[in-house]
Amino acid sequence: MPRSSTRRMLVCTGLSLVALSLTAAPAQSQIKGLIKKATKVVEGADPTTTSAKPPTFDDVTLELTQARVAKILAGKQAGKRIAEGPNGPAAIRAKTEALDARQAAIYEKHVDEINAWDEKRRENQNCRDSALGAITERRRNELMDRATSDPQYRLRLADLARAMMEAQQKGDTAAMRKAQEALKNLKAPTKADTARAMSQCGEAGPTGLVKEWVELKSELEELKGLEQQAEVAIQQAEQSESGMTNRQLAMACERIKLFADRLKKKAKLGEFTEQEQQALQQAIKDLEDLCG
Amino acid sequence: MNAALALACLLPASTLAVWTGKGWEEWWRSNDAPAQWAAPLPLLSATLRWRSVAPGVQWSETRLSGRGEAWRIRLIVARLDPRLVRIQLDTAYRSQGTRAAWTIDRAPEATLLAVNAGQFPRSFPWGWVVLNGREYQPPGVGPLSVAVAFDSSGGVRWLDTEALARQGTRWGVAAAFQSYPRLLVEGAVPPPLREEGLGVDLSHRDARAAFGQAADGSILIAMTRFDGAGEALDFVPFGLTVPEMAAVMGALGARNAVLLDGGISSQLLIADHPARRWPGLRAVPLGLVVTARN
Repeated sequence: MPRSSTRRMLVCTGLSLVALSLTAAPAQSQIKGLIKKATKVVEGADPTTTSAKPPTFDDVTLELTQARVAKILAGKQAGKRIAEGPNGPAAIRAKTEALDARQAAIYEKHVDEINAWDEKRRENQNCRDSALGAITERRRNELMDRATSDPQYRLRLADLARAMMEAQQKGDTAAMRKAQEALKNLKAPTKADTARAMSQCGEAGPTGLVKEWVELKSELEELKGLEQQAEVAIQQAEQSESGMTNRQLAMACERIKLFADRLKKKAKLGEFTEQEQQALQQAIKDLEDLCG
Repeated sequence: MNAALALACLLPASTLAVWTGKGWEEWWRSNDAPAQWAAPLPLLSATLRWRSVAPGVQWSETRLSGRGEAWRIRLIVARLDPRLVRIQLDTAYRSQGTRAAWTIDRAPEATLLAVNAGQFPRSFPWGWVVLNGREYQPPGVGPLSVAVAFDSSGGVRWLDTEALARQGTRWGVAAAFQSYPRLLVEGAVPPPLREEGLGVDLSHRDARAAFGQAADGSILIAMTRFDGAGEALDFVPFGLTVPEMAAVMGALGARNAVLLDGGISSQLLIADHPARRWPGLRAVPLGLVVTARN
């Protein structure tokens, strides 16, 4: 196991980060692409010249009319309420940091004990895997023996195989899950089998500070999940209140930031329609704050 | 495709594709099926990674996809050099000889490969059987039947009904079995396998087992297993049609090939490390057992 706290963090949160990045990465890159597009759209022309024109509005770049600005404000405020609330990402991050510091301190002092427990845990896991593997093999043989002696049962298995195949072919995930569950029930170790395997291999539970470290690890993983859920809740609230998609909101905010920048520089506002200029000027302070 | 001649649209519509590791690639179509196979199909051969079990015994597997029940099929292929191995037949019965009792579990410890052999209508093998040099059953007669005879030096002969009737052809045989339908005759797909209504059900799908021989003399044993629900249900008898199995054997490079009993009878043991077993759901009266030639 790595010794530095940075690497430790990677180990502790590796799985949750992988999960997070798997879902977040495409969205992030989409937004980055959008920002690039927004910058291109609005900065393509020299703002000081009269040639700068409003963009062509489409299903991503919406005209920021008074009504739409009001909606954006409502959406962003709804998001902000969640973000700043007790279950918002910032509050969760504060909790995470405290736990993380405690976990790091335990790790620094008890790394050898943690590694020894981890090794024991892996041995125990291997033992359980072997025991459960043997049980699964036995159950499969039982399944075949029954299929050999009972033609009706054989037909039932063929029906199950056919159902599974048809579900796969149709891409019917619900039917696929149902068939897989049925198949799993046929061959998976029973609770009694599992209990027997567990008792064969003994216990490898952590004790003392190692136990606390493990519990902290699981709490941290849970908090990472909650943080991700909070981010999703913010997005959902913004979208629901504004009536705009994530992409539309991101594009609107990029244009709002550009508008604020132009105002500060007292530059021309040719990239914005007159209606947009009016609507944005009235609420620019709140908008700038909410768009971040 | 190794098509010298293409079949007319006389077969039930079907296709076969092979998993290349990147995607499914179609390599056979019933409406453009070769009537003659001249060499192994490179596309299929390229997916086979041969594992050596012992001198003269290799095996491999690949994944096929066809229509309907053949949507996901695993093809297991063994390649034997008959000069380097000993091929014997074995029988087993129970209930005072009234019930077939051979399974791959009966194969002796020294077995390198064991597979069910021939066909059987009831409890006894169909047609000619020679065990350890002694004729156990006389030849049967059938239009698409063929006998495979092994001599003690590793020679393999394919004997049709006429050849079996000729005096002298049955001498000097160490082991032999008879089966049907014949899938390939010197690379050609027999006419009843090319057109419906000539006595062979060309649309029935089942798990298949086949025995063939390539131009270089090597023996090819192929078996299909349903692969749509993981290994747990691989014994479910979903699989290929007879023309599709003929195509598989042709594409594997067989010059001559015959179907073995398939469905719930098909079973194969390969003594790799660890041993690979594809058991059947039914005991059969005759098994082919391959051991090292000492």
